[in-house]
Amino acid sequence: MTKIMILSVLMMCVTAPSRILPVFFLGERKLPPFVESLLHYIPYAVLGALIFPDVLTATGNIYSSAAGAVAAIILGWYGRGILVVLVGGILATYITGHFFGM
Amino acid sequence: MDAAKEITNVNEAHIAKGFAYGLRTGTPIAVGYIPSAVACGILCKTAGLTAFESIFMSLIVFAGASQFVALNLLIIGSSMPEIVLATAVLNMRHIMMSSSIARRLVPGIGALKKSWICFELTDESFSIASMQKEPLLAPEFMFGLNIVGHCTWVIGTALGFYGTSVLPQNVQDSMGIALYALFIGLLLPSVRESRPAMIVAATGMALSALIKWTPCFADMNRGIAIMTATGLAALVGAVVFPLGKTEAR
Repeated sequence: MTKIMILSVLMMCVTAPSRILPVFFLGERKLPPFVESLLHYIPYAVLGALIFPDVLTATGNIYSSAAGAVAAIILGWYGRGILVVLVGGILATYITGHFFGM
Repeated sequence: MDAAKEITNVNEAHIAKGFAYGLRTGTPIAVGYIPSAVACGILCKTAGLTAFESIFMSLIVFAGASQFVALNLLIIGSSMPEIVLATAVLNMRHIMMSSSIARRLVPGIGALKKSWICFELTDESFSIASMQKEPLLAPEFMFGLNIVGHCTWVIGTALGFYGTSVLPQNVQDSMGIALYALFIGLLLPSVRESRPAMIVAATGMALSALIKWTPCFADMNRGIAIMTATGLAALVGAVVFPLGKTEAR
């Protein structure tokens, strides 16, 4: 087992209970509205916290990183598919990196 | 329990059943997964995983968002306990989905079958299952629905991983941005639709930046910093925009 494989197993071990246990224990009970709200907002909060400010150092060059981020923001805002956003961001980074001697 | 009482009166037409019907219903999910799965493979490669490790992770974890976050934390050098903690927190939303689906399963399914159905449940298969017009869901239907997505996720990861290897080196160097582009692509369409979500995401960004740039927190581990910012931002959302009052989603 490599370190990554152990990590994967551990990730599965913490993911499975929140998927499986409610079936047996929660049944029909509703979670308190506050907890439901909190769970609802976690994905948005974590994406925000992950993106900024670390996106600025993504490639080690602030200009090419920022260019990639801006391209991704524009494509994402207009609801382009995830792969278009991904490729657009990489292309913008690649092109800008050329000009700033990356 | 209501479902159990109802079943005696409900005729067969009110149950979504059949493995093949599940497969057909799940096909749109599979198509939708391909880009993210390919992206996952690309990121695994960027994060330095081997092909086997990438496929292994997609197979047994099968949780897009937490895999992306885990890869990100690996890249920025977080420790294993932090990554596991982040995964646990991020997947707590499954509690709501599993309990909601559990109520719609045909009563009297064995514990093992129930567990397997919920183990494979994702945001997408949950959404599709919830939208079925039949009030009850048979286990075979759920197996079919879930397995299409699961297989596509694993195959897509492999495609993304091997696809990356054929790219020229200078393009591969630009791929550090890939993870962030992916996060942006996931986040923006939803925050465009919902002001509370946008404010929560912006709060997360602000807190994350604040922790990173405040001198006394500068030594704080980045993974812990991100989890702290996440918790506080979600708390702000839950306090300022409680669900059901401001937004029905």
